Amino acid sequence: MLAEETNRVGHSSGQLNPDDLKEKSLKELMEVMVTSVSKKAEKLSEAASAITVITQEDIRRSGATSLPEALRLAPNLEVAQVDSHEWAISARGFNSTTANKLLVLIDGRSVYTPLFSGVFWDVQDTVLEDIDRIEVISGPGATVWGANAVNGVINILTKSARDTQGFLLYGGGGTEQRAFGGVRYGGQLGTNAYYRVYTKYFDRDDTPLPNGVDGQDAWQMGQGGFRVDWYPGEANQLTVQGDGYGGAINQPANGDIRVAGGNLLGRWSHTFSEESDLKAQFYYDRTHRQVPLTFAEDLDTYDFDLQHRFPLGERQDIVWGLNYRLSEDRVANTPNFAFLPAQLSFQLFSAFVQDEITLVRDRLRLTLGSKFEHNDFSGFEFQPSGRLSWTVTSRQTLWAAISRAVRTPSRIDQDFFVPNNSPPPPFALAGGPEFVSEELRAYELGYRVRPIDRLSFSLAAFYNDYDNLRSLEPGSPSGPPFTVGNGLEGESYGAELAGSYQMTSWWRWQAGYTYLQEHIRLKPGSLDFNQARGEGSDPENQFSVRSSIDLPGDVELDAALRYVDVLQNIANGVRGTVPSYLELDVRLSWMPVKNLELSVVGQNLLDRQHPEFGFPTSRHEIQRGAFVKVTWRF
Amino acid sequence: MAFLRGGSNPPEFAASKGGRFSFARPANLVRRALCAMLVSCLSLAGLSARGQVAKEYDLKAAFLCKFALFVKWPTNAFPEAKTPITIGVLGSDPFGKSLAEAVRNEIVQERKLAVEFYSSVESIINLADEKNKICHILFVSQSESGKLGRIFADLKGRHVLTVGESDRFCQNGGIIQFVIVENKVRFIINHDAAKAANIKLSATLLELAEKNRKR
Repeated sequence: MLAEETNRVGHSSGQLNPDDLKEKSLKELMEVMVTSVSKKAEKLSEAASAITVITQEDIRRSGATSLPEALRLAPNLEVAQVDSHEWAISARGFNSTTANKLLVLIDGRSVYTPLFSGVFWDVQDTVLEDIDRIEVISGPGATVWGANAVNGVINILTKSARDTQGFLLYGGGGTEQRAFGGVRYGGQLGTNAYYRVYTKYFDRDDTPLPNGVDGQDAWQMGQGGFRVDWYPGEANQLTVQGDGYGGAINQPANGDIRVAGGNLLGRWSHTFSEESDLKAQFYYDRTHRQVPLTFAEDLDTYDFDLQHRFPLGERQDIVWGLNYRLSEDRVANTPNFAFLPAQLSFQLFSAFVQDEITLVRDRLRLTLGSKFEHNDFSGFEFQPSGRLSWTVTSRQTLWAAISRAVRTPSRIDQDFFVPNNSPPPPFALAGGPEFVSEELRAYELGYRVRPIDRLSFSLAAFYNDYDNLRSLEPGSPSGPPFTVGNGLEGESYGAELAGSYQMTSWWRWQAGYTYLQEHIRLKPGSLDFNQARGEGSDPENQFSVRSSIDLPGDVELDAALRYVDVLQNIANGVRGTVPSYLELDVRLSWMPVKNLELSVVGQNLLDRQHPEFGFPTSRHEIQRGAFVKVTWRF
Repeated sequence: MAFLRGGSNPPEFAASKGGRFSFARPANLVRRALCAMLVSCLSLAGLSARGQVAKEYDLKAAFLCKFALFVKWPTNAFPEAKTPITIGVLGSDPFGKSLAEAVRNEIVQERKLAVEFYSSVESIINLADEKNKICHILFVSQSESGKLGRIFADLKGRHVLTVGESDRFCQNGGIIQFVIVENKVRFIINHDAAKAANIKLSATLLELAEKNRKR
């Protein structure tokens, strides 16, 4: 049969095997294109979905000093700096400082807090030079990743210790990044084991209030960690890694916010064949946060994960997995508000199965799967999805997906109480005992094309249908004035466009644009206090353009321009806005000798200060900044 | 709910009227956008050319074998008439089976090609000094990128054509560095390092190398 014949020689897309390559001259070899390496290297997350990959080179050339800054490189994310340490990051809407529809993983460890299903971005850090890549998926990833991967998944992956051998020293300082520095050393333990250890520190400046007055929120943090990768035999990899951090964030009154935490992770993976592998992972994570006179929290997380991939017959690839997570949360309550019960231990059991079916070899693939999970807040949940990808030609892919995802309740939805100052009733806000999961049904369509070698585009369009979104409901005259409810519903739709153009061997352009419409409304019977505007603050239009130039004499010049449209917000029933803004970051670097890099970075250059998030009367603004950095490897 | 992170103000609740919004359903707009997208896909489909493709390390393995055609080693690099041209891999092996397949039955400069894997520079030196098994082309894996300086220092005077793919491999003293340019495998050459190793590279090879590329 013809199909088998083409498959024997290579793939029908024209893939050459080693014997074919032998026949070619050096000059001919130079015209052969590299494909994505092999099935083995294809990540689960690279299935038909809107994925952006931020590479180490992208991060280095952006001049980013923190993970949130590096995430600005993903055009399919909304990234807003709130003050010196807070960030609001989301995908496809619903952005807030407690944005709760995005799942974030660092080396397979989930970093969202079950306190509010969001991420404390200020304590997520690593040596940026040791990051291999950041995969950013917009759209639901719940079938594989689980609850909370509603609007997107961020997967931060650091390099194997094998690839970070030797010394890395960096340091610098400037106006906003007052001082920072770090050391990493990688060495070998025997023939097949590698390790690295690192420590880093930074001191960031205060951000001002709109009137220019110092917001007194400077902060300092130190972090250290290690990673060991052992390759006992060809087919095994054992990874053990851990981090610890501590920091203090200034406040105008009441004393510093204290943060501390650490984690330890072990992962074993065994490869049976190119199409089959098994991965077992365990981690322990501890976080501590103390906001004087406001609240304090200690959270311990124990997580066990198992994933197995194997082929079923000629055309099917199965992945299935099991996960168990135990969270022990202890909140120290204050007279201002409380999480009740103050101590809570809760469990999550989940399983997923996904089948990738080849309908037409190298052309048409269908991926079907579902996650099944049980959590202590809302009980049993299922999150199925179907994805179809059509490789039109070797240069074009068209994909479509339908999925269901849920944002399961977190402690802030059910256990949150605000006492009433004037008696009775005892509480102004009395939790959300009836709060159930927020639901999403998402329809996506995407297209990736590389019309010529130097140029690539991707387009993703989506239509999201939400139900049971969170609302703040006035209570009955005899009961508490407010409870948390599921009184909102609505739709959002939009498109994400990204492109990359290698204009010459020394000049590269990257650009992105996102369009978003959100129509959230009250469900019948709801009297949401925030008028259906409390769950997100999102720009309708966003665009970014980046230019990376290699100049003679080992000089690099990078510039990134970003535009963010007006944000609408609300506080205490009063509406406000964040004006649209255009900002520019520029980086100039020079390598006087090998292994030594000197760079100057200017951030937010177009305004002395500008707001990116928050209600007009209470927000901080972000200042223009500049810093110098020295990086030395040996 | 910014109060969780800092700022000591608890949320305040003032009396207010609930608002209600209504919007036209966007279904029509979405449908129109999807149609437009489909049309543009179909027209772009016609434009795409069909290049030949291969797996990255299959291709790089083929390159390593081809390099042997363009290199002249000093005579003492071949102690015996039948001494093969040995292609070594230092550090973790990215090739899998592809390098073994690439050298199979290949004859270059009237010599067979052989493959050897090394865990350290010491093993390269020991095999050469004690067993007369000399390495001619050495692929230095990414895993060694932190110690390139030491590797090149240890290999000094041994006529080894070093090939790598780490950033700044050539700047560190390597001879040939693979780079991926527009999805194709290209290479840059550090001619001074080749001269220092007493290895002659043919003009053809130098001509094919990427020029004026900063790495």
